[in-house]
Amino acid sequence: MKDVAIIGVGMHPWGKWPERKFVEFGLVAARNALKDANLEWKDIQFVVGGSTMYSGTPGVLDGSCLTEEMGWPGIPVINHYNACATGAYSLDIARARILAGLCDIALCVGMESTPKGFFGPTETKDPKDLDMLRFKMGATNPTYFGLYARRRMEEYGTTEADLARVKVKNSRNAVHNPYARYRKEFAMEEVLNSPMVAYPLRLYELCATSDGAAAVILSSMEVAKKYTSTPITVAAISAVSPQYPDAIINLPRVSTDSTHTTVPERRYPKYVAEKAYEEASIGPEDLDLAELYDLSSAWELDWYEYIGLCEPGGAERLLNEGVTALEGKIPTNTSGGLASFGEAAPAQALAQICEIVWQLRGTAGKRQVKQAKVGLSINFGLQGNCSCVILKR
Amino acid sequence: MVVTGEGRMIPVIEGWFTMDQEHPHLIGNRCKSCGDYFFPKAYSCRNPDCGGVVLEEVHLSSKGTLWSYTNNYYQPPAPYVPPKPFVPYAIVVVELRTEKLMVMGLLASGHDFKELKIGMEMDLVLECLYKDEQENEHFIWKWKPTASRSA
Repeated sequence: MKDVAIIGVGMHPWGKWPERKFVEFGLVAARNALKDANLEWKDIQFVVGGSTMYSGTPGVLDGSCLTEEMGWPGIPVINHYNACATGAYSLDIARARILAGLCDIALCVGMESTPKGFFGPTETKDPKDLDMLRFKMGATNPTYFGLYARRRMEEYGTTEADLARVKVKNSRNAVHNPYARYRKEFAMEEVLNSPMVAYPLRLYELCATSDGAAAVILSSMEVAKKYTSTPITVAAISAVSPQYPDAIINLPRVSTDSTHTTVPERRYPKYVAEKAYEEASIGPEDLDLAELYDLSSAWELDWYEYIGLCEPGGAERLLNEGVTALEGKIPTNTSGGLASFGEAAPAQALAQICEIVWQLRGTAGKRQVKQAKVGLSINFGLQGNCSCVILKR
Repeated sequence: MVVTGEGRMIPVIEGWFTMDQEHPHLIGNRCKSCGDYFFPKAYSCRNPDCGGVVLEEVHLSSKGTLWSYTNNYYQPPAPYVPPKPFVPYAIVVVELRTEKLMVMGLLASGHDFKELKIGMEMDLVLECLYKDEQENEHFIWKWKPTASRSA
């Protein structure tokens, strides 16, 4: 396959601005990305917008809304939603278009304006709507994360201190990230004293819901070299759905597939990473940094194992020995992670990409990982959506 | 003057469980070709290696093993109907004994998440989830520890 490169990235900070519209954040991110790439809006030949589900039909068509605000150029615009994996799937769509020779320069953008507190269901009148049923039962997103965390404690002996330490580590990184929502360093006692939300997860061990936007501009490598001296190679974009039977309960379901007849061979958050390594021709030992979708503290620990940094049950040791701290051997969530951003779902995977690009270019300032050459980002969302991206300098 | 309703018992979702409070069952279905079980009922076989379209309705086991649990301390958004006042509530995931699929459910009233042990046996029960303005009782399945003395 020919190489596709990232030539520009841009973000709007994460935060909460109830009076502002989603497209305002998208405009800032898109303009920052264009400036970064030394491009004009009219240079963009294809737009992929990651839909936001909290702003009605315009939100679903946010790529189109943004394009209209930037000025209708007549180019094709695709809007799509793949839950938390949306941003990476946007890259996937844009990359395929470039590789097919149908465009040279593509803009991927995600933006969101979120409601306060828990994510609720998108209202439907369907009495059989699973999302409505699980909310009637009281199964919020943190409920699922609490279930996984409690299970992890059972299988591997994860302690309350382990869960708190993930937040502390990530918050240290966010102090140096102007785009993070929470930029102060948290102390262990603060996290351990925060209110319990979904046992065993406390408030500061769960990601918030945030407004934000991120944009990434891709081109073929040939074209990239005309615009930048630091093109970042897209070495892999892996997107998988579960393999039947999916035996781990996941949003928004209240039940799983049966393992009565068939035993599952693989877990898809792990498999998606394996596929990415294969495509990039590398292994976990080659990574210099990783952006992991820490929906909760327990999720970050799970990710260390899914991406092959250690054996199952070994994540706590990595964390506590400082291996994944900024100065460690394989820093994770140098951006501060979802712990410091909160989640703006359609923009989040693109935000992970922005961080890796800055790191690989050497422009991450006080968050800089020395000699960063290879970075991985990975995410997981409802209805079997997850994806993994590997970038190389 | 307000006329109150007759207070019917309504399942929160139709066709997912029997309304027999003595011996409740979840209702699923089973593929006649490969024998896989589904809950809730599938439109067709969800095993991609089978592709069967003939499924028969089955009552699922009402016993299972506790896989995990959590306790929720914050009131969720609608359509959750909170008790007044709101109290924290536990949600559990149980693996059905025969069908080996997991089913999430609320912990039955009168029980606390602190008495739970992963791996313990659980029984399916039916309880009123909430009462509406017409005094109808909306029922849902819940799980209770088999070995317990509470109501």
